[in-house]
Amino acid sequence: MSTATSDGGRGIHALCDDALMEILVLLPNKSVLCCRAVCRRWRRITNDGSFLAGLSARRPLKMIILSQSGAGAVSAVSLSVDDPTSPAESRRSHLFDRRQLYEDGRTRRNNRCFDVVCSLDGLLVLSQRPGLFVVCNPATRQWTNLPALRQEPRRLHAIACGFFSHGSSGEYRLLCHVEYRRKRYYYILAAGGALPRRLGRAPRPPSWEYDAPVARRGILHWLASHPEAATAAGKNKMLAFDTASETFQLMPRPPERAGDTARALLELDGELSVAVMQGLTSLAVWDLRHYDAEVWTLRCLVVVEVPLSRLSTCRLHSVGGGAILIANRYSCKFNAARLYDLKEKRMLGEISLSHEDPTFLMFRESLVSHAFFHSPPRSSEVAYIKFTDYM
Amino acid sequence: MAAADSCDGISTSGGGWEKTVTLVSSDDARFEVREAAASLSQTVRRMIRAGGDGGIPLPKVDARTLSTVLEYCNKHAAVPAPAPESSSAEAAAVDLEWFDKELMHVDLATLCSLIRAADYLEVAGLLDLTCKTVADMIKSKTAEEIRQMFGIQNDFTPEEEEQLSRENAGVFE
Repeated sequence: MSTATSDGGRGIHALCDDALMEILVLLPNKSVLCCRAVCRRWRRITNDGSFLAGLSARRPLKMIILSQSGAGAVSAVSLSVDDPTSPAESRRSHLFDRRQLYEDGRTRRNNRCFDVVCSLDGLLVLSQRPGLFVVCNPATRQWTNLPALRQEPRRLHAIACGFFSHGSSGEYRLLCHVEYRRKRYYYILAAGGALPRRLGRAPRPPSWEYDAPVARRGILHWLASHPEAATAAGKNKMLAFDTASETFQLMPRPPERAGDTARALLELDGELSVAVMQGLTSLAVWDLRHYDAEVWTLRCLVVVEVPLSRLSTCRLHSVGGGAILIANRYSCKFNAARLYDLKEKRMLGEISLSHEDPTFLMFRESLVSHAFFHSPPRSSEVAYIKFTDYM
Repeated sequence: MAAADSCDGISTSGGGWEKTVTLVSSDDARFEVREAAASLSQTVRRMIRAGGDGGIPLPKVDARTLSTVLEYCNKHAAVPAPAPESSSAEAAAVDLEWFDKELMHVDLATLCSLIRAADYLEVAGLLDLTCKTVADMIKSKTAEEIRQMFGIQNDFTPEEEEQLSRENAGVFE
């Protein structure tokens, strides 16, 4: 610790930046935002990159959950298994409602409705209407639109393929698959940008749905349900999008075997991995350890517990720290998710997801400031978002 | 509760003789401490290993603060490690918690001196305890209340104030 200077104040002035950070990192989000408004020094400290990373690391990883009834609540449920006895309600924070009120606070017919389509670095991308995407930070309660695709012609489809942070500029960008007048293009919508940017012609999608991509080395990867990977040339391939050169390429997938019941692309310890469920109880994890050589290596095999129903389907997701989430669906509902530690090959705990619609979008609160929330100004078309709980 | 022992190089604990070390504060006060207690400070532990005569100088900590730090170290080093989940372990944990709480009944200036000392001496448990105590004081206060509590000047320009209120528009509505 450096020698601290005292100006005769009541002690806290005499603390060095590191010691002050040790204190402020213990605060809840709202208090940290208050601290930003105390003085210049506190503002500098609470905007510091390492401080914000430390703060975010103390927040549990959450999954975005949508409620289909009522106002369509968007909540975040904690995936931490540190306290398995905590009731489901206390693990969940209500962020906002998908049906938003008009700014005058009155409800009207045909309320504007948001779909949550992407989650990255504490930011959520919402779709307000085809071609109008909104980026928001529920922790700082800020929101703004991405450059909007024009509303005419009316039959415009715009699907979010992936939200990413562009390597050299640090800009947050949304890659979109857009169709209008029977023509299909890829677009880049950059947060803080003025206009959408068209990349090139896109293929016909087999379905209007994209998995959340996994980013590694500035490249976005999708395992399945991607139009280009479904073509004959793309058989047993996965699609990759280089965010620097803005080009697509196909990459090999790990071998497929009869009896595979679920597959998912994920990031494990910094490696690009594929988790494969074989039958009901066998989980195989493959790593792309040699990325350039495109060689898949079997990392481990884990025997998992038999799900409650043999008729269930499952979803797999990485939750960091070498743990994997297995969510089983019975009779159209994901009731519970099980967390497995891949190194120790044991179950860490179970998380209740009852009566909800999990998005499998992972979310971790962040208080990083973004200039794009202030400039350019928000489009008047964007609905007013009333945030609910403090996280 | 035991304050810093000083009984000429030796002290007793559980009937046995224990090695002690001498710590010297910035204002030249000497503290004779059991080595096990002093070693809760990583800084002191390194200096013990490095060796030397005539006591370990701690030029960044005054006597008043050092005596509180040592009170903490003596208490926390004295606790034996019984079998976990036994009733005595539970009782010891409750006792320690109560001790920590009492130790934190000090004014803000003292608390900040303790944070600086715990940071410099690298007493992790005390640093956590003091930081948490100050954080609890900041929690649920507005920026103006925080400024008043710590005597901090608001040094923002009007332009910065305007930017701040724009940033936090959604937070304090």
